[in-house]
Amino acid sequence: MTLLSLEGLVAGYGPDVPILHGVNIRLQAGEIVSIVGPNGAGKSTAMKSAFGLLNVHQGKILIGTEDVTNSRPEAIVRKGVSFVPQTENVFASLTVQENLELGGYFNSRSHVAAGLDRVYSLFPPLREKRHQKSGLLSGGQRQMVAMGRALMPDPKIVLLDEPTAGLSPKYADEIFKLIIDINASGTAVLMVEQNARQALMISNRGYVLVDGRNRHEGTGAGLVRDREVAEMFLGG
Amino acid sequence: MDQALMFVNAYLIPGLVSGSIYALGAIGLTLLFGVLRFTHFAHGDVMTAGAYLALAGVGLFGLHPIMALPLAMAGTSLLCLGINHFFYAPLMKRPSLVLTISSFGVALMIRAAIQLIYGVESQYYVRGIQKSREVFGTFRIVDRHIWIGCSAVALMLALHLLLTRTRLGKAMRAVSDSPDLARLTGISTTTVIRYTWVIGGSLAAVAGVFLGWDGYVHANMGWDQLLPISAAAILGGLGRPYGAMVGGLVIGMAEELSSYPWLGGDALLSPGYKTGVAFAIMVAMLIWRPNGLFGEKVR
Ligand SMILES: Nc1ncnc2c1ncn2[C@@H]1O[C@H](COP(=O)(O)OP(=O)(O)OP(=O)(O)O)[C@@H](O)[C@H]1O
Ligand SMILES: [Mg+2]
Repeated sequence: MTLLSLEGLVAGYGPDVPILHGVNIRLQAGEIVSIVGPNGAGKSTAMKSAFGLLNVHQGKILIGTEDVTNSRPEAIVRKGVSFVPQTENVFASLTVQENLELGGYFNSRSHVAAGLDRVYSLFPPLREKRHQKSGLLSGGQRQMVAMGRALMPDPKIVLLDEPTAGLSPKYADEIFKLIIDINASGTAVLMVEQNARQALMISNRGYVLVDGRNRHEGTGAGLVRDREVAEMFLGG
Repeated sequence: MDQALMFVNAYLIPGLVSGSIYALGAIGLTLLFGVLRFTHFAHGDVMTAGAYLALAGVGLFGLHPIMALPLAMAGTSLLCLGINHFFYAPLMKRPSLVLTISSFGVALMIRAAIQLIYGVESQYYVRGIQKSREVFGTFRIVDRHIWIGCSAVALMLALHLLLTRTRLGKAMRAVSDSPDLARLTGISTTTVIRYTWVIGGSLAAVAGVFLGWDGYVHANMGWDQLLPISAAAILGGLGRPYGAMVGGLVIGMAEELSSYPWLGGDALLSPGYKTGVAFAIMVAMLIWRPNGLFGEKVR
């Protein structure tokens, strides 16, 4: 079952200049899918467009079978899709717990309580730090807060933009493990990653995006083995 | 002892009273800055509008100024929602300087409307000498100062509970922190902005009524407070409501204490320079600590 699809998407930050020139991306139930590609390829832009943050010039965005092409982010998140952006992904002056509570902003009280339990057992260090301001946490823990906030509504889909950027290899490994756990609990994951090889290794499928267009696609392992992809985009 | 009595009655109490009034105005200014990222220069005139609405309540229904507060708060909230809807909301996508300048225009409009309706004469809620009562067997304090102080503290406490305990309060802080992330989280920034106008407008109304009660009601009264209120908000760090509370009290106290005869004999500074004190503090802050006394981060 297809949960999310970008179909022939032409989109940009304004009404005229497109950054994406016809991008096709699909995410099926149960999958982890990675988008990789060089800097400035439009990976973040593709994710933001799925969340209603861009001007779509052509093409469409579907959640399940529902056309959400011109929906606002406030509406998309209510359809079971959560997004962890690449930068500014926590409310820095709010405590860890307040960040998580806001993740369940449109959920009932009991849903929020259940969500907190779920997130704290997924990220145990956050429970100890729940009354700290999230702006004061280390990069890795801040990333956990950002992911935790996104998981609070128990979404069908999470979009993660470079979840391991700026983290030490040890922390990055931990985040990749958590992504596998999140996926195992039934949430489909679409992520953009600079650690492309590692990301593709845990992905069912992957897309290589270049200059706002699809360049390659295949299974995660298949892309890692593909000589051209490896040479051009995975650093040999 | 006489010296101490004079200090309390003539400097400390007036300082606390005007400090409370500044704090109430500055909180609204700072909350609005947090969610809208512009300085609302019409905030003083919103205070004036609140003062005149209460004057209508006092005049028409013979209400006690405190009893006229709900009327003033409700009317001022509506006024704020209206100016937001017609003037600021359509400009939200424009640079914040455009909003700032348009708020000057709104300030002029509010003042002109008040002058058209009420004229330019000073008016009073209550005439005649006010009773004062003895506190701790020594100090004499007038009832309205007790009312003003207690109401200000109660309102600040209520705001604290709102910001830390309620869904709306957390959403307001979230929008103030990062509007984009707030939207991704499902918070409607439009709704949060409206509530912020209601809260900021209501507190401005209270500040205006207290100001009028402690002196007189006049079309320029709020505009004249814009300087100390902005100074208080900057002192506390723009966007920080707790900072604005402290900032208001500090400015109020500093203005009064600047004319205390610290060196014996004459006043240190002539009371005529009171506004200069607020201005000097504001300039000093902008030069040395533009993020406020407690600020660590540049916005
Ligand atoms: N807010 C913005 N407004 C206008 N143009 C933007 C904006 N953000 C990105 N761009 C442009 O869109 C293009 C694609 O950027 P994008 O951030 O999507 O790349 P990316 O693939 O995510 O790169 P990176 O690996 O560096 O994160 C770039 O040319 C960039 O300059
Ligand atoms: Mg990016």
